[in-house]
Amino acid sequence: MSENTRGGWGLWIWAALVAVLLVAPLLAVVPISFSAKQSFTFPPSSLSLKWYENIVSSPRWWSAIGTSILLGVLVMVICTLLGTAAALGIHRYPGRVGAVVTGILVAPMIIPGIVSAVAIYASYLRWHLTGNLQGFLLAHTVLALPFVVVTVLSSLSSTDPALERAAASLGAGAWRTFARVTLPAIAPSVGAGALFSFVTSFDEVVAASFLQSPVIRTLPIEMFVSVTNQVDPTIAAVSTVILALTTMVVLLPVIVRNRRPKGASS
Amino acid sequence: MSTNSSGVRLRSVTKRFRSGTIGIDNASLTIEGGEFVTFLGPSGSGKTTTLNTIAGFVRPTSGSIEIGGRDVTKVPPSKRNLGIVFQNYALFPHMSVRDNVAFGLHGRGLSKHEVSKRINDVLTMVRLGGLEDRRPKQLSGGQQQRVALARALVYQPPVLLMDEPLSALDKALRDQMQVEIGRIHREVGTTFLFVTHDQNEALGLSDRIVLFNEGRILQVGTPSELYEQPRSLFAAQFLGESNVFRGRVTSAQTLEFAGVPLRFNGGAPATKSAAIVVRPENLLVRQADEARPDENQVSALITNISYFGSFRSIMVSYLDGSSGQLRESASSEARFSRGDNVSVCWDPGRAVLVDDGEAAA
Ligand SMILES: Nc1ncnc2c1ncn2[C@@H]1O[C@H](COP(=O)(O)OP(=O)(O)OP(=O)(O)O)[C@@H](O)[C@H]1O
Ligand SMILES: [Mg+2]
Repeated sequence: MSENTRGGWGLWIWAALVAVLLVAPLLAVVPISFSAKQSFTFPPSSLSLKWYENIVSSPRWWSAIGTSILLGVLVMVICTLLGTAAALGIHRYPGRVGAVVTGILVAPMIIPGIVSAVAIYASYLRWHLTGNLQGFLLAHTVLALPFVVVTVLSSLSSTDPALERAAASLGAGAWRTFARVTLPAIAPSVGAGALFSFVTSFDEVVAASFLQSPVIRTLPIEMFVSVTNQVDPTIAAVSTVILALTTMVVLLPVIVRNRRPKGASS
Repeated sequence: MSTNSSGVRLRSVTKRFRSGTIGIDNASLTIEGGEFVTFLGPSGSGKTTTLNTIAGFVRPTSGSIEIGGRDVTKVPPSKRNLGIVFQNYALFPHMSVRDNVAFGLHGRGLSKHEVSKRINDVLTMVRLGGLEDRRPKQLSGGQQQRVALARALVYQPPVLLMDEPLSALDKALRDQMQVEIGRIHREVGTTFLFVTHDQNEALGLSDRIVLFNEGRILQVGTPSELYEQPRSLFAAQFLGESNVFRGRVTSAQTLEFAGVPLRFNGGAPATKSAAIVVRPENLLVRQADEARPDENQVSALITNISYFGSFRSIMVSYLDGSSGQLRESASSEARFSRGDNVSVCWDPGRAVLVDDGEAAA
């Protein structure tokens, strides 16, 4: 066999090893969630759905899941609109103003999460934004915005500036140019930014743990609280549900894209 | 396609960029409707800046621009109704050829039928029929160029602007597209403004050439005017080959070059220091003792002779150390060889006197 093929095998083994390391803990969680006993022993000795019943019958979990999804969707919508608009503005005014605005918007990505969280908590306490949805919404928007700004900005800078000039020379005003030329060029990045912002909010623990109250909790916080109170495989069942949901969210665009017939016009 | 063309007029247009660079300095220019005009000049001479002020992408610092008699200095690009072909075509990558071409027909009150007729007509004109459903990526460079032309011409703009449209093509394709652009210009009758720094494109295509250097318009004229009557040393040297004899003007009729008096026609220049410019085809080589009284004559040393089939190109070096070249028909007998000391002669009526003021590029 050629060296090439052997190199190929080595790569496969390496990839498999990495995959196992990354995925194994996740795959352990799934079987545990179906365990019949109140323990984390792996593999479970007998199976049941009682931890799932536990979630379904508990208003706490329902409310946490609802809050997280609602929050994630709102954050996604707001961040996608604001972030794309901000990126367009920064791109148009690339001088010092653009640099300063970029710096401010992207800062939450660089500042350690706990520092942001403490700062957010301190000021939101004064503004009565703790323990309510508005507070979560504001905090998560600030934290997720950089992901949209950065991805959209990078795709804007890689599109040919002559395209917008061409559209203008063909009589298109600002709106038509944006809708028919700029947006199609940056659409994949806007989509990716939207996804990032949803996941950022859905996943966020640090700021949420400061802003939460018994009345309003996001899913990660509810999980955290439940683990500290009592240890049972309910948490594994919740994790499995989240795993299924996020996998679906990530796979959805791929499936949709493959379904679309080849060469369909935009 | 119907004939629809407008003149363009620049009045003292100056563009100073924020960095302080002068893109174009006090340019005035009148272009007639239907003309094919090229902007020619070296890199950084202000051709693109001038074209962009006409397109509306650059707002002049001072001066005004008229298109078809209307002052458009403050009109945005989308309202100027110009056709523009960009250097790298700037085709919309996510749209088919048809959608690219159709883009400029939007909002012009045309019926569906009329739109598709226009698209078909223009694609036929640029010889792209049958490729309507391709994406730009699926086309060759030459085909993309044709789409760009079709897209800019389909709404019958009164002026078409092109900034180095052929520079991305290889030599053979460039020659072919040059012929095509000439044909399309005759077919549509629109005013064409064409930027290039390739003198052959300029000479071959244009009704008139606008010669730029360092942000200034140096000379405007037909290709033969620019070639035969350059008004500056720069113009003489930028367009075509030339032999330059720099010297001091000693009378209304003579210039002294390395101690040799040379006669010239036309009035004396304003400056004392000037140069006589002679094109290679107007020079003759003779034996040193063969000179005629009615000719100017300069001693030269032959440094090289190259054979080009129909003519021989003879490189020479003059008394002042400058080099020059001349051409001899290959049908005449080859009388000289490298290293010969000869006389280079010309009829004073076949040379021009230019100011030496503008140093060579
Ligand atoms: N946006 C700008 N900001 C600052 N200076 C500029 C800008 N655009 C052009 N210039 C300067 O203006 C001058 C003229 O540039 P222009 O692009 O018009 O030259 P050109 O004749 O088109 O050259 P080329 O043949 O290289 O395209 C140059 O010195 C250039 O550096
Ligand atoms: Mg240019």
